[in-house]
Amino acid sequence: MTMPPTNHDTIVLQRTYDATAARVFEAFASPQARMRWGAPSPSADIVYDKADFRVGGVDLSRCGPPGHLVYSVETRYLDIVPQQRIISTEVVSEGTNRLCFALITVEFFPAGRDTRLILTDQVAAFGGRSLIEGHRAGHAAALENLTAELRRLPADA
Amino acid sequence: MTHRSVEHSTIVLERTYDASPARVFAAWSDKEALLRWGNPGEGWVTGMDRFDFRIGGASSSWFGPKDGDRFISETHYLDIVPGERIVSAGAMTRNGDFRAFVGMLTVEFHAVGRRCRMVMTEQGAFLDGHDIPANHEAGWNKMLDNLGEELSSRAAA
Repeated sequence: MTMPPTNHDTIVLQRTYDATAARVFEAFASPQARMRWGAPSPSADIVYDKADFRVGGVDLSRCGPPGHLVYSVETRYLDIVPQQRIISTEVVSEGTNRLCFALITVEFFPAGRDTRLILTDQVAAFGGRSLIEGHRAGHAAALENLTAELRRLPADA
Repeated sequence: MTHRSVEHSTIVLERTYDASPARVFAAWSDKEALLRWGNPGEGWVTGMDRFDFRIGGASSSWFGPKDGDRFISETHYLDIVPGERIVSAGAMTRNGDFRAFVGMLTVEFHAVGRRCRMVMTEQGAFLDGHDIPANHEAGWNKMLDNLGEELSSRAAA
C-alpha cells in the first residue's frame, strides 16, 4: 500500500503587540479569549469543549465555518513558563482522519512597552503540502486577530 | 534566575534494514525490544516504567550514565499506522528537575523490495541550554545502529 508523502516543515511567524508580555500571555492562557481570537481564519469559529491550561493538560476544540466546525483539534501542553513561553502539540483531525501534527512554541519577549511574539510551528502533515500551507495561514490569521483582542481591553496604566 | 532560551532543530535520520516494514515497526512497538536497542551504549543504563503503545497512550522511560544524571522521558502517541508510521510527542527532564527538551518524533516505514527504508524525523525544542541537538543526533545514530543488530540477530532462520 502506498502512503501519501510525509511532509515536515518549520514555520516561524513574528509579531509585535502594543501590550505587556503578561497581557499577551493571558490571551493565550484563557480559553474564553482564544475563542474570540484563535480561529484560523476571519470567517471561521472556534469552540473549546475542554480546556486545561497547564503542563500535561489537554484542550479539545473544534473549528471551521460557523455552524460547520468540522475540524477537531487536540492540544497538549508540554511546557509553560508564565509570561515567557508556551510549548504544545496540536493534532488536527477531520472526523477520524488525523490530518496533521505539530509542535508549537510561542515565546514572548518584552520590547519597551511592547511585546515581540515568536511562534515556531514544527509541523508534520500527511496528505500534501496544502496542509502545511493551511497551518501557516491559520496561525497567521489568528495572530492578526490577536491585535484586535488586545485592543478590546483597557490598556495597562 | 534561569536564562530562558529555545533552540529549534529538525533531525532526520534514515536506515535501510534487511527486514520487512512490519518487523521494523514491531521493534518500535515492543517494550522488551525497545529496551534492548534503545540503550545508548556502554556505561549507560535504561529502564521503562510504563508502556502503553496506542493512539492516546503514554510511556515513561529513563536513561543515564551508570552513576550519573537520570534523564526521564514521557512519551505520548499521536498517531500509529501499523507497519507504516508512528508519530509521538515527548518531554525529557533531567533528574526530574529541569525540562530539557520537548519534541515530536515521526518514524516512517517504507518497503523497498524485501527490505525496509526507515526514516526518523525528530522536530525538537531544546530548552534553556540543558540539552543540544548534537547529543540527540549522536544518541539516535547509536540506537538506530543497535536496531540493525537487533533485527539481524533475531532474523528468522
